[in-house]
Amino acid sequence: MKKRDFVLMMADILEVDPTEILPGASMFDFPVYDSVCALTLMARLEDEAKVECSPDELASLKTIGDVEALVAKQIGFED
Amino acid sequence: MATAITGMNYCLPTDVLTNEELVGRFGEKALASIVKMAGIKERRVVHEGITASDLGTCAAKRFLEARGIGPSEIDLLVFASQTGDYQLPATACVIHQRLGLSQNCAAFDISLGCSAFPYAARVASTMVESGGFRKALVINAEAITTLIHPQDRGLVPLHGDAAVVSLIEPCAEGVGILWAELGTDGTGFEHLIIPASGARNPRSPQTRQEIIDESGIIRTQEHLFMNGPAVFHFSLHKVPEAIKAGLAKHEMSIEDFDLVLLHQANRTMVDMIYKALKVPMEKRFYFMENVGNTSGASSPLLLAEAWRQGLIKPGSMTLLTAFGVGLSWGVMAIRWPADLEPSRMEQVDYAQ
Repeated sequence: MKKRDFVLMMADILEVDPTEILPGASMFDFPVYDSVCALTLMARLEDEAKVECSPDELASLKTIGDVEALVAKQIGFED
Repeated sequence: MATAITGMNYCLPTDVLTNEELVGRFGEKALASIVKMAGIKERRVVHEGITASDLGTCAAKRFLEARGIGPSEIDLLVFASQTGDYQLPATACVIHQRLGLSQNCAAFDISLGCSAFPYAARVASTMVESGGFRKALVINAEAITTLIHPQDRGLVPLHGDAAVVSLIEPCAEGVGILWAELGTDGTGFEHLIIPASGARNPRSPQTRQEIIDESGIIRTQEHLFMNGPAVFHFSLHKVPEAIKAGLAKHEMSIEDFDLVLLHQANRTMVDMIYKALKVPMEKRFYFMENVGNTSGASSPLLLAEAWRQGLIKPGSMTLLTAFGVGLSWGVMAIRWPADLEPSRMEQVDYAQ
């Protein structure tokens, strides 16, 4: 997955400008991030990035950087 | 002996719960995300005092009348639901009385949720195949909305109520219910549960206390709880795997089927399972946008509606999969008889 596509996907899910998708940003500081939004994240990671996200992994995603690390671990980022 | 579903009918409650009404309850933003994911615009919900058995009885009465089947001809009644009238007796016995069925008719309940239809159909068809029964009525009915806290913004927007009746009878060899593969993962029993609803954790003033979780969802221990991520993960991984295993066991593939039906959990989940199985668009069918996820009634409702819309052709093949609370699943393959009758279903709204 291209880093740019990851940022755009996260921005779309979290309904913010792509400039707000920063590694240190807490998921819980995004107003739309709730249990339903977390499911949407899980679904889109599976569907668009082919990244399997278990319930435990989903619960451990506290920051944008955590999501990025999960993607990097499973499929890596293209240059 | 082979068996087939020879007729179906369904009944919906008349109260309509729209997204516009839910905006007032949950706020526009909170509702928007779940509506986007679920693809549900409105749901039919039971009015206070109406039960799943009321809907089921209504559907069954209309069906028997339309088909000209006398109550004495039914010799097996299976009621599959998690919203029965009483802890005891079995709700099938209540419906038996209301339909005026014969004392020679066996009647019992099956306690399962979203996966109930393949289970109930297989139980009934096996009993008919045994030669002991000729006409089996299977009623899948749920008033699941009565188990959901009205302020649970995760579950209220998803669910609706419904009842579906199916008639299972002997048929010619080579057609009918070809196979039904059933499965369970009991390690997930706590992922969809009403914690205080039986002997393990009896209801008390404490269990009626409201709980607000980290997402702001409100419920009590006497209401339905769903571990969304766990159920989502199960549905996205176990369900396609179970379907593939069932097909492989019977040396079949998606190409063998004209219609592939899935429990209408929510639009995102259904689409992801379809995608995982590479099901072509023309074999997909949805019926949730105006009725919601009706739990155990969902998959037979989908089948009955497909039949009603003329999508079930004589001689065609249908693959139906239902999954959910338990965690539990069933995958069923049907070859429709060449002399399949049209649906003949007219009125679907509940009336006393």
